[in-house]
Formats: sequence, C-alpha cells, structure tokens
Amino acid sequence: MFKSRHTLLSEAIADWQARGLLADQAAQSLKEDISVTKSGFGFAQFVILAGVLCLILAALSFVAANWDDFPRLLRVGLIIALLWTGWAGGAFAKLRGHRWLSEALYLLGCGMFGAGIMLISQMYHIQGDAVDAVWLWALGTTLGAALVRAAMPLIGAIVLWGIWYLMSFNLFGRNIWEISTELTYALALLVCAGLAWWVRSRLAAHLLTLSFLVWVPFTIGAGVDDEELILPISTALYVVVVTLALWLPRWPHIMRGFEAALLFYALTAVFATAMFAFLIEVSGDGLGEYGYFYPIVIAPILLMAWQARRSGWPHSYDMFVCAAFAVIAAIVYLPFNIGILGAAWVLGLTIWITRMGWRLDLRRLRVLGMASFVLSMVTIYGMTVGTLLGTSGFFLGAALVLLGSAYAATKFSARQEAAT
Amino acid sequence: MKRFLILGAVLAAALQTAALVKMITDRAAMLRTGAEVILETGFIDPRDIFRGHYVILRLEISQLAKASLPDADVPENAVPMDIWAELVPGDNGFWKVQNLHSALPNTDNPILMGRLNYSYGDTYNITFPVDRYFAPRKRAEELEQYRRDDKLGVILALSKTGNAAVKGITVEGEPIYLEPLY
Repeated sequence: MFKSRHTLLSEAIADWQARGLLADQAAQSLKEDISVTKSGFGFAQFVILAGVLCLILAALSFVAANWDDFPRLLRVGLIIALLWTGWAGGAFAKLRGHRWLSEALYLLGCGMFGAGIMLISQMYHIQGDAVDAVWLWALGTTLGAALVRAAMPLIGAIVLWGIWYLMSFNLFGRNIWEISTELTYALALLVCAGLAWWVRSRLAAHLLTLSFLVWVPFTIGAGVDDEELILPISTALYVVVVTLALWLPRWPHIMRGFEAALLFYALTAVFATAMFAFLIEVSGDGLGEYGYFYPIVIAPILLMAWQARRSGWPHSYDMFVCAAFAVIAAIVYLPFNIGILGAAWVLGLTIWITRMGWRLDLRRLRVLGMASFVLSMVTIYGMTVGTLLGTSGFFLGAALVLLGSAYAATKFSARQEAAT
Repeated sequence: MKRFLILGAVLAAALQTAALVKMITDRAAMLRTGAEVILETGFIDPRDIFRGHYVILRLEISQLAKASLPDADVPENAVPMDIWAELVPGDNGFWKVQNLHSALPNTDNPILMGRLNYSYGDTYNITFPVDRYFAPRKRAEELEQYRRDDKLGVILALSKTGNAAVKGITVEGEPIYLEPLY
C-alpha cells in the first residue's frame, strides 16, 4: 500500500504511543504539528480548481466563437458580472472557511478579467499586440492576489508574467535583447516573491525560483555587448546562489523550509551552464576569455564559507567546494584549450551533487546528481567518440578516480566509526 | 479581518472592472475626437486563438520605398525601432506617408505610430498596430472576397500621440461598415 509522509508519521506516532515509547501529551503535540504542515490540497480541491479552469477556458472559447447575437454592452456586462461573482464569491467562501473554493473563485475572477480584455479588444477592434493584453492581465491578477492575499491568483499571475516575458521576445518585431523588458519582468517577479512569502505559497516559490533562474542568462544577454559573457556570468551567479542556499537554513524564518528546493534548482542551473560550456568547448566555438572576472565572485564565496566555518555551520564544507568549483570555472572560461578539464569539471560537479544528496539526506539532489552524471557520461562519449583512444583513456581515468575515491571514503568512514 | 477581506475583494473587482471600462472609453474618445484618415489595405482571413475571427489588414504603407521619403529621420543602427509616420492626403483617396520620424514630431498632420522592423535595400518594412479587424465569421469571409482591384480602405481615428482606432471599412471609397461608439 502506498502511503504519504503524513500517513507514515501519524502511524509511527500512534505506534510509539501504543508501545509506551512516547508520552500522550508529546504524541498529541506531534499530531497537531503534522496536521498544520499538511497542505490541505486534496482530490476534491483539485476537482474544484479543474472546474474553475474549465470555466475560464469556456469563457475564452465563448469569446473566440465571436458570439454576435447580443449587443456589445450586454456581452461586456456579462463578463463583468462573472468577474464580480468570482471576487465576491471568493470572499464569501473564505468567510465561511472554504479556503480552496475561495481560491478557485478568486482565480475565476482573474480568468474573467483576461477574458474581458480579449473580448473587448475583439468587439471594439482595439489594436495593440497580444503581449500588451497579457501584460494588463498579469498586472490586474497580481493586484488582485495582493488585495485578497490569495495563493491561486498569485500563481496565475506568475504564469501570466512568464507568458508575457516569453511572448516579448520575438513577436511583433520586438528586439530579443530589450533591457526594459528584462527589468520589468524582474520587478514583477520581485513583487510576486514578496507576495509568495506573505501568502506562504510553496508552489508560487517553485515557479518564481525557476523564473528567476531562466531570467538570469536572458538579462545578461540584454545587458552586455558580447554574447560570450552570458555563460561565464550565469555560472558565477548560480554558484553564488548555491552558496547562499547552503547558508540560508541558518535563518529558517527567511525561506521557511524552501532552502532545499532552492539548492536543487540552483545546482540544476549550475549543471546546465557547465554542460553548455563543455558542449561549446568541444564543438570548437570557444568560450571567450572572460574567466578573469571570477576573483570578484570567488572572494565573496570564500568569505561566506570562512564565516560559516567560523560559526561552526555544518554546510561550510560545501561552501568551500563552491569556491573551488568557481576557481575551475575561471580556468575553463579562460582562453585555453581546456580539453579534458572541461569534461572532468562537469563530471566532478555531478559527483559532488550526488554526494551532497546523501550527506544532506536530500533525495532530489541524489536523483539530480545521478541523472546529470549519466547525461554527462553519455554526452562526453558522444562528443569525443571520434577519438576513441582519448575517450577510452578519459573513462579509464574517471573510473580509477571514482573507484579510488570510493575505496578511500569506505576506509575513512570505517576508521571514523571505529574511533567513535 | 472580515472587513479587510470584503474590502480587498471589492477593490480587486473594481480595479479590474475599471481597467476594462477604460479600454472601451479610451477607444470611444479616440473615435469621437481623433483625426480621421483612410489607408489603403488588403485583407487576409485567419483566426486568433484567443480572440476569434478577424481579417488581417495588410496596409499598403507597411512597405515604403526609401526613395519616396528622402527626409526620413531613421538612424539605420537603431532598427528595429518605434517610428511615427506623418500622414497627408494622397491623390487616390487614400492617405499616404509624407515622412518618418524617430520621435513624436511637432506637426499638425495626423500621426500613426508603428514599429520599423527592418530597413533593407530600398524598402522600409513597418508593422502598424492596426493590423487586424475582428469580424464574425460571415463578415470576415465577405471581406476576404474583395480583391485588391476593389480598392479596400480602413478608416482610422488617430490620437495626437499616434495611437489608432479602427472606425470603419471602405470599398471603392464607400464605407461598408462603420463602428458605433459603444
């Protein structure tokens, strides 16, 4: 039988209580704590949300069908009436304690706002591109989310801002690298991040983190003249984010348990940039010569790691590894023919992520590390298959290093266990 | 708490309603007070994923010969860029572009704002925000039947800053559809 974390914990507490291992009062406190952390999002809530999404799509299809049998103002009135139904119904449901129904109705209000923008643009031949319509929809939805302090409209707003950002790239003759678009998107994400923290929405936090990590390379592209700077700066910023993610659990009130997810996303981004760098290097295009700026990144990482070690923070080791990784990144991004170092850099990263996954007991890091290890091996093999002797030599070297490390680690942990 | 909850929901609904109403009133104000011009166009009938049937307005002034605009203020290194087209009446009943400006010009002539996509060879390629006319399927199909020889036109109302609202459609100089204010 499949069991959730909540069920497993509840059963364990009940078992410990029954066997007298846990006092009744402590068991009760633990049960209450578990119920607080339970999300409350069940199948019924999913059905409500799906129903509301269908309503929004029905309204959009209704608009698309170009229903022409009623006067324009009546059609506008209908959409506005549905919009008010969503907001008023949401507030009423919240007052009655139906949280998810309230969230779904608020989402309906925001959906009707978008349908209204499309309908009015259509009926009144209001010109302007679809990007501006989505911008207005996203702005109205963000304001709505802030005014009622609701998670679903906020998630809707983050998705809409993402759509607006992606649509801004190449439609209607816009320039791909427009710094004003990048800054507007960053501002929208910051406002949404503040709201996500206030509303305590975990899903919003996931979406925002992904959005920020995607935003980084595009913004660098918009801000610099030389596109060869995009990868080195992105890698550097992502490594700084990893270092911060390793330090942030020290202040649990800031991220409220989101630190592990942040670490996972930042490491994924680091791996993605390292992989890109490796692929560019082996394809012979060259990585530019921008590793020289890395000391201004390595210095704060080292400072954070040193400060963390001084205060006895257990993750300071990984923070020092971040600094070491950045040092190798600096060499990779210098105008040398790095050859095998690039491959070793990527593979070393995947091993480090996997090891971190075990050491910090974070399953998602283990999965990321192992998946990226396999991907790296396959890619290195595919890219260097032309020189089979070199490939074979590389894998032999990698195997020796890995097996040697495993042997040393086993001996070391056995000695530690004997000492304790 | 209860009061803030109701106030927040009412404010959210009111703000979103106000934004929708402003879209309608702004467009009505432009139709009432904007400078009226007629531009030559062709029609193509596609379908918008969000907004239903419409015909694409392929404005003749979207492709302009550089030779016809010797005073155009278009820095080649700034393309793609926003541009303001200064319009004057033409000989064939349609308005034509007299000049292109890289900023809003100080002139009494009607102005239409657009986006200069590229300046290639001897041609300027411009996208104007009046690029579609929404219509029920039947009307869209009717419009598509007209051929280029039929001299199709779109009547626009232009604001002082170069924004435009579609006021109607003409065939051979005769209005066949005119938009009501509301």
